[in-house]
Amino acid sequence: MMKQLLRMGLVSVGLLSACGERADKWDAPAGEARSMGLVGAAAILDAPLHRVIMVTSPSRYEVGTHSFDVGKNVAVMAASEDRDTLFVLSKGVQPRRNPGDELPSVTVIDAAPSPSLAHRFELTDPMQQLAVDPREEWLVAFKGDSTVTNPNEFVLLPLKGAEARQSVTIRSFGGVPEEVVFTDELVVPGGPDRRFLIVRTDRDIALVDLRELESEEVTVQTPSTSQGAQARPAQVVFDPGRPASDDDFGDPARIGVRLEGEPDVMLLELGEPAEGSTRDFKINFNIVNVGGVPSAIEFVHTDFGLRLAALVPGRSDAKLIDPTTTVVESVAFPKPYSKLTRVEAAEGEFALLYSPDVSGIAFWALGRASGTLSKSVEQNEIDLSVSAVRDVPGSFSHLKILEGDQATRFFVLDLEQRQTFPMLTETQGFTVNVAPDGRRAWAFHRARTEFASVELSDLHPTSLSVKVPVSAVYDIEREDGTRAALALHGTDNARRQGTLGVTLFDAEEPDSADTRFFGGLLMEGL
Amino acid sequence: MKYLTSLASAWFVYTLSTCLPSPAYAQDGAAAAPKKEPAPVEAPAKDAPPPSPAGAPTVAAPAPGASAAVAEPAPAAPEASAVAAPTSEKPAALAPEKSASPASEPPPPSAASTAVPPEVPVAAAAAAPEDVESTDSFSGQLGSHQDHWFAWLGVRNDYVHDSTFDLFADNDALTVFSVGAGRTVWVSGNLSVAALGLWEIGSRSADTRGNEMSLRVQRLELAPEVRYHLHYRLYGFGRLGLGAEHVHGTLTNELFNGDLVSNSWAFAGDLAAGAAIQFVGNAAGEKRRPRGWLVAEGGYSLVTSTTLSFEADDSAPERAASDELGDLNLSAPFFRLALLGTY
Repeated sequence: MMKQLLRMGLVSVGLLSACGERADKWDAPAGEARSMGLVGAAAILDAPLHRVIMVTSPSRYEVGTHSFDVGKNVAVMAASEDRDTLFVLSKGVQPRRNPGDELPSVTVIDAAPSPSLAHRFELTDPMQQLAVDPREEWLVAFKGDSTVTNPNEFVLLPLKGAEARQSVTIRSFGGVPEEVVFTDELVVPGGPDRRFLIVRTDRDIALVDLRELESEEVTVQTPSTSQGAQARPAQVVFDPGRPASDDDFGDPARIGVRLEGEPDVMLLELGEPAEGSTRDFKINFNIVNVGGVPSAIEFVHTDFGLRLAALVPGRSDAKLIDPTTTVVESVAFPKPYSKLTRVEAAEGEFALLYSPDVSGIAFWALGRASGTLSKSVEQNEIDLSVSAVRDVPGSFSHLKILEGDQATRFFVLDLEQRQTFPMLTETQGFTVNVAPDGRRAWAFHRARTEFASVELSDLHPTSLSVKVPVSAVYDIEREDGTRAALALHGTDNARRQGTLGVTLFDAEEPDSADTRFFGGLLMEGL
Repeated sequence: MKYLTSLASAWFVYTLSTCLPSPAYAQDGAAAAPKKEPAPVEAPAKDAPPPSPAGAPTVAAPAPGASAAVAEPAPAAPEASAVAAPTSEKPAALAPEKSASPASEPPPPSAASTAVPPEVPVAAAAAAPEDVESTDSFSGQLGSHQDHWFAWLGVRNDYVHDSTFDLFADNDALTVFSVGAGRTVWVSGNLSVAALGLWEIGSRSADTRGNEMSLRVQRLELAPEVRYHLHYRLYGFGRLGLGAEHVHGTLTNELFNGDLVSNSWAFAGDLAAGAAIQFVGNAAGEKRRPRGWLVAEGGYSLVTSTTLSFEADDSAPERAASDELGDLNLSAPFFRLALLGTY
């Protein structure tokens, strides 16, 4: 009898114990926790719970969190160019079988001064990619992802004004879109200036008129290669042109297209429309051979006018193409530079030349590029193969940060002085972030607990140390205008088990002895 | 919950049906005795003298299976007298005395009874160990069934429906173990009041978003308990407990392989009702003997909210801020099983 009683008692207790399973959110893993720095917050994607956690610093020793639902199956998290807005594209529930199943969506979150949900667009079909207009007028979602997709369909979402969202399907000759480029206002001969959306597919270029979305786009096919296949566009650049005036004929807007593995460069010009045409322009198109496969192209302004510069590392030179006459001039470089960044300086425009494959950089004075070609390149031998050039905003915009892959140093380049200042790191693999106010840079290593702040006014580094390895550092602005540095722990696929954390610094006077650590970020807002 | 309630009811009915003796309500000292209180089992000796007719009316000892208020002379009585009596010239007087020992009513005056020395039953009982059972049968006096010291060992299951509790457990169950002691402090008929002091401890833990989190609660409680004896082996009760609960939470942060700890106190109270069944122990209430009871109860535990503020230990980064994980309220309906030892 006692055994029966005991058994029944245990069964009763067991049944009670089994009641009330907890919510799934508590069992959600930490996930990769991708992060992104914004003006007033650091955004952390908590993908398992379909949300973004915005980490702010309301005051000197405080951290605040704001959680925003961004939908299931996040495909893209992107920031605006000025880093004050976050855009998140999610695919929703797929396949969607019930009325309550979440639709694909794009969530727009304002990051400054205080994080807030600005807008949410619902889409009918899931998309894989999101392009953000640098002027924050448009978002474009493309590359469908479902049973049957139309890869040439683009969903344009207006961020300003009263335009309705619009779906555009570009004409296709079998191509698949790979990139979209938002232009500035291009001079259009037969009508008002307007912006275009240039779609680069794997075999042609399409121009979508953002002023008249209903009008049919213009598609320009690439030339055939020597093997007979259609050349693949690799890069698209544009020059907005110069409107005509009473004493100036102006310059038409131009588009340059680099072709993958081909020595040819396409030059498109928005010319006068044909008589009787309903369009405000006509595409004039040229193909220019630059004598080798270019690695980068860029429109530059020389003393002799607009040129399309094409770097040809295989020949250790660059070609300057006159877009009007298609005459090509060569400029020899001491090294086979493969990348260039155009820089506006007091003495005129020049290009910064660099390459991840060769050490050193060069300054290419574009103002005197034509006519005095041999004197236009100034070599700077630095012990770094530059893979990325980071701009510095604000009052120190004459500075650039030069980074290399797996290097034990990075350089601060002063464009005014043409000087490069090495910053040595203890080990390889440091990442450098520039503060949005342009006053300092942060160098950190994902597996280390030491990192540094470099004051860009005097290049004074301040070494800092925390107890937990740093996965990212973001310099954010508080509402009162002061600045905080958030050293994140555990984000961005950092090796960890468990939660995320953040160490808060005063960004303007960072001091390892004056910090505050906050753990359990993933628990916030649940 | 409906299912659980049904199950608990079924369990309770089953327990009663299997644990209880036959109808044996004898609070007022009626002559009836339960079946389990056997009469002397020895067969009457053939050569034993027959019981005295005069003594028969005074005999209250039940024959096996007897339930009538007045029983016939027990066949064992002569045997008992044969064993206990030092002489055989007074068998008629001894038999009724032996069988009357558990009875509460004094034997009516008779020639035989007046002739029996008063110490004989004691001597008889002492001299006949095989008759202990009969001397310890329930006499109708609740006695120490009701008025006793007691110690308590139990297990309680709370059904905590608080969202913060989910941090520490993957379901709503909070199982705590109870240890306590008390004393009956007031008795009036079948009604009594006991005072109980309890210490309870329980814990839960779970992996929550990659953090190992655990919760340990301890409660000290004083509880007056009102009982009503339905039977000397069964009573129902209601209890109001008041006390304090210590809530200790830990959060293992694997970023720095350290613990964050939250300690807080809350006021706690229980309102419970249930029943206790005596499953082992002497039936005679007059004697203070150890007894074992099984207690089943249900109720509601009311606990004030506490704030979970996890403070870091020395392994944490310097100047680690506390993790504020909200308010925890452990108020919950509960069900408890306990073993009660009384003396």
